[in-house]
Amino acid sequence: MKKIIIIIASLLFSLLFYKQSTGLNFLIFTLITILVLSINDFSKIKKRNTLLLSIIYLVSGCMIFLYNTQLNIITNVIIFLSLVGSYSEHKSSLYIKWINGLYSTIVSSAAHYFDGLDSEIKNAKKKEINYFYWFKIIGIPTIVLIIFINLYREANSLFDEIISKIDLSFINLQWILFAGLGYYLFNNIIKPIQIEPVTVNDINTGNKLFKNSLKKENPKKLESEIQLGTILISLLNLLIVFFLITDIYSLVANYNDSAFELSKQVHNGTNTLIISILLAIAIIIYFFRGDLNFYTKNKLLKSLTYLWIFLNIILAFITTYKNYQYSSIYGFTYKRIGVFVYLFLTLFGLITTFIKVKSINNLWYLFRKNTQIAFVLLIISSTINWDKLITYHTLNYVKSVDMDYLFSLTDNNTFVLKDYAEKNNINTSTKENIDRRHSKYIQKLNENSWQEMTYDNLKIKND
Amino acid sequence: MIKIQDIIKAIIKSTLIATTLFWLLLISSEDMGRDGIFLIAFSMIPIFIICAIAYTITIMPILWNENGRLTNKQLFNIYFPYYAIIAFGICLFFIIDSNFGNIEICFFGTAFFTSITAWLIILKPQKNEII
Repeated sequence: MKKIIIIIASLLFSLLFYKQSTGLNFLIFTLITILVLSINDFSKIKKRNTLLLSIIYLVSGCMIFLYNTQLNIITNVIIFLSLVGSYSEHKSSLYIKWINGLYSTIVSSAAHYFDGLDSEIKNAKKKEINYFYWFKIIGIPTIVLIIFINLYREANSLFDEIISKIDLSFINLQWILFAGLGYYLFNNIIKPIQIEPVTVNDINTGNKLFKNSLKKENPKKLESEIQLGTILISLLNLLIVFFLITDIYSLVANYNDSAFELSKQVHNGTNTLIISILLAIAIIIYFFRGDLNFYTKNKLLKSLTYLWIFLNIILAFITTYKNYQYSSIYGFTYKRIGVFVYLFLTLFGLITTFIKVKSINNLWYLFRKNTQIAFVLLIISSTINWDKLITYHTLNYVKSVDMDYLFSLTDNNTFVLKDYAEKNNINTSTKENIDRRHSKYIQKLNENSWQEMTYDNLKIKND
Repeated sequence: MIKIQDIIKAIIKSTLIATTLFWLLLISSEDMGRDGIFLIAFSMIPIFIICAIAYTITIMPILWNENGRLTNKQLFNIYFPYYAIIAFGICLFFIIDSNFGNIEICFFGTAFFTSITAWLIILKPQKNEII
């Protein structure tokens, strides 16, 4: 029964993706994947995490149908890996799910084959379907036969004439191989595997740091480490305070900066922030890696660390404000949105570092929480039609519109541009460019096969 | 402990697999003409060299490093997952970098599957090892 389901799914896989671009096919593939996994083992899909990932995966498939951007596709693939990883072991952390998901997707069959070789009992079972045996029986004679046919064609012209009359053009070998790839993929994901001992270690490791599990440090060494930490973080606090004062002063004093200056400030601020935050987290992790968390005289160091985190958060907010100011004057671009995303991640990185120190958590806590936050952000950002949003914002709220940049975006902004051109007085060359872009896009949509269909296809049909 | 003759046997097997897979993928997408058959035969030489290099550089150092301390199953469980993920990442990178070029798909697709089967061939338990 399972074999039949995989064969049907692989044929559908080839039908959906063979020589096709992206669109409706991804949404259907999403549904097929969830269906195949459910039929294979419903109890695994029922698990809260896996069920949630299935729903998110489905939503992500819908997003490809709606917007069809690279971000949507990348997000869909990452959620697919998470889902397969969760199907493999739902209790593991998100990043372990990604690794297990990837491992299962690419080589689960090979790992199962190897396991099957390991014992006589399993070997006996393996004999029921021995793929290598069938390859030897069918594959090798076929290849040898083809070689000899070609050799005989060279030697005998009548034989060559008869052979050349055989028309096998109705068989599309590439399509069959593509279906084979689909079979390999589905066969892998229904039998997911885990990387050991990483998965078991991850499940057995909680978020808390326990005194008993740590190596006992020499009290003298701890004392000197506390002194070093206190001096270092005090100096870093002073430095960041000085930096923030100058930064706020320059922000207030040079309110009407030129685009170039403002851009330089935002990018410099971001670069500073990247190094500052990473260093801050690294230093904090170093000092609070073990016994020092439980040392009674660590209160001052902890307070200084909290202060430093807080000051870094202020730095993040100031940079956000600068980026906002810059974007509101000169419009959104992917780079500027990227800065917002980075700042958002930084903010959460600092908050989780604060929680790590306060609640005496381990390093895994930081990895787990931060990957979860990044994952959620990726999902949310993939539900937004960025090209449309950037174009709409630029055309309606920005004084000097950079049309070249808007033209460099994907076709998702074509209808917004067309609408703008129709309702506003713009110069002829820009209007011509917009009209050309629009008609090209309409032509492209009309040429789409049903597999490549997107929401815009429905839109132009209704119009 | 893996013997030299086992390694040579494994390289030959991998060469056969790689040749079959590569030409199967290529023939399915491009017309090879009548001379294709000689190309296939001739291609076995460079494929053998590539397989030998791949074995020597990527798989054998791991096995030699362990020097019989681990069983084949332990070796497979510890190293194969990371090897497979890295091999997949590298092959995928080159396929994407070539903008999904036909030859690149055939070459790196073959390289990935051959590298995976190489582990199965070289660490396959001998009949007398089976419990």
